[in-house]
Amino acid sequence: MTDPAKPAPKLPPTHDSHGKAARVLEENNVDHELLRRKLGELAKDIRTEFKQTVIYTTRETIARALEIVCRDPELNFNMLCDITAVDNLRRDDYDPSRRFTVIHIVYSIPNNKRIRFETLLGEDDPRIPTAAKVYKGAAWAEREVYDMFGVTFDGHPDLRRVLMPDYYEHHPLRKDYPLTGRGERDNFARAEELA
Amino acid sequence: MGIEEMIPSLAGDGLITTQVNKVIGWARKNSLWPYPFGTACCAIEFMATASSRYDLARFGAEVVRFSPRQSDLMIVAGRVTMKMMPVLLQIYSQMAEPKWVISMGACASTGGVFNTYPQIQGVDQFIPVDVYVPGCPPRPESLIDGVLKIQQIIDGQAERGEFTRPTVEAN
Ligand code: SF4
Repeated sequence: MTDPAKPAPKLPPTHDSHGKAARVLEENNVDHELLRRKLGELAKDIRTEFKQTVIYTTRETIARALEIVCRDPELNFNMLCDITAVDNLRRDDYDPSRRFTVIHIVYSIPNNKRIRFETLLGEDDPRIPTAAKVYKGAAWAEREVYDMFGVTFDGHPDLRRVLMPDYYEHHPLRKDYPLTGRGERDNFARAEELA
Repeated sequence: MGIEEMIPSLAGDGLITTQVNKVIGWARKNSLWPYPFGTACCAIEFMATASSRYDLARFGAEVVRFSPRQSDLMIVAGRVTMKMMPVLLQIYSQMAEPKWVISMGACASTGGVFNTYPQIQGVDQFIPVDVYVPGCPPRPESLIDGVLKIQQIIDGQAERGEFTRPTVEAN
């Protein structure tokens, strides 16, 4: 039993991982004014959420915005951490025009700064321009998003599936895809039939 | 007791009489060449079984071959996904007859805890399995027991298909 009158023992700084994580997030924040100056019309909606800098973009603005943050010598976001997506289908406030959120996370190695871009896409037309022209490493991350969510990337050099086999027909991380699949895993010939 | 004991002129000459099947079975069961189809954690346990502490060589099955054309015992050790299943089928059909299959571990036998869209729920849906080794992963002793059961099948003490998977009522 701990004595409620006694304060909790203070952890040595090396063990205070939660505090350290919070500090790192704060260090990674980018000045909103600087971003507004550089991106102008492209970034109307800049926020700090959970201590992280987020820019809400659209299909029309995302490619240009990525190009600027990558090429601008002052911003210098020279590394693409990841491209991923979220299917919003099961959200309470779901609306078919906001079915998918595509997320680009970029990081600046020289400045130790990080930005997340979020782009909403509609259900009937989930298309977004590729980032592979700016960040070469985007190509495979986009193939994964295409494979799992069925979001297509316009101008992508080679948009094929990367995890699931080529003959597979669905996009399994969509929320309307059942967890155990639609019988694909049971559809093979027995060895005796092949012989 | 062989016929040689009844013929006094043959006694003591080192002759025995037996059946060809028995001799071939005796040779086969003591020189199994396993092909490890290792796709996950169970394969690590297979390595432990094959190496010196448990020493599968005591049962003549230490010559692990990575070519299906040289092996006669396939040990499916690990998860098999939809993308891997055509590979498993092809490798199985490349093995020369006679061939036997051990399904090692919960994943290969039933899908294990991975009841998801890409995961094959038991390789025995698609290839014939002779012995199932339960466990997650099975201990090396269990796998050795599985190999001994294969030996029983080979020398005719047990029938093929005798060691079937117990069926569980789905709820
Ligand atoms: S049965 Fe257990 S140990 Fe074997 S492959 Fe599956 S999860 Fe891994």
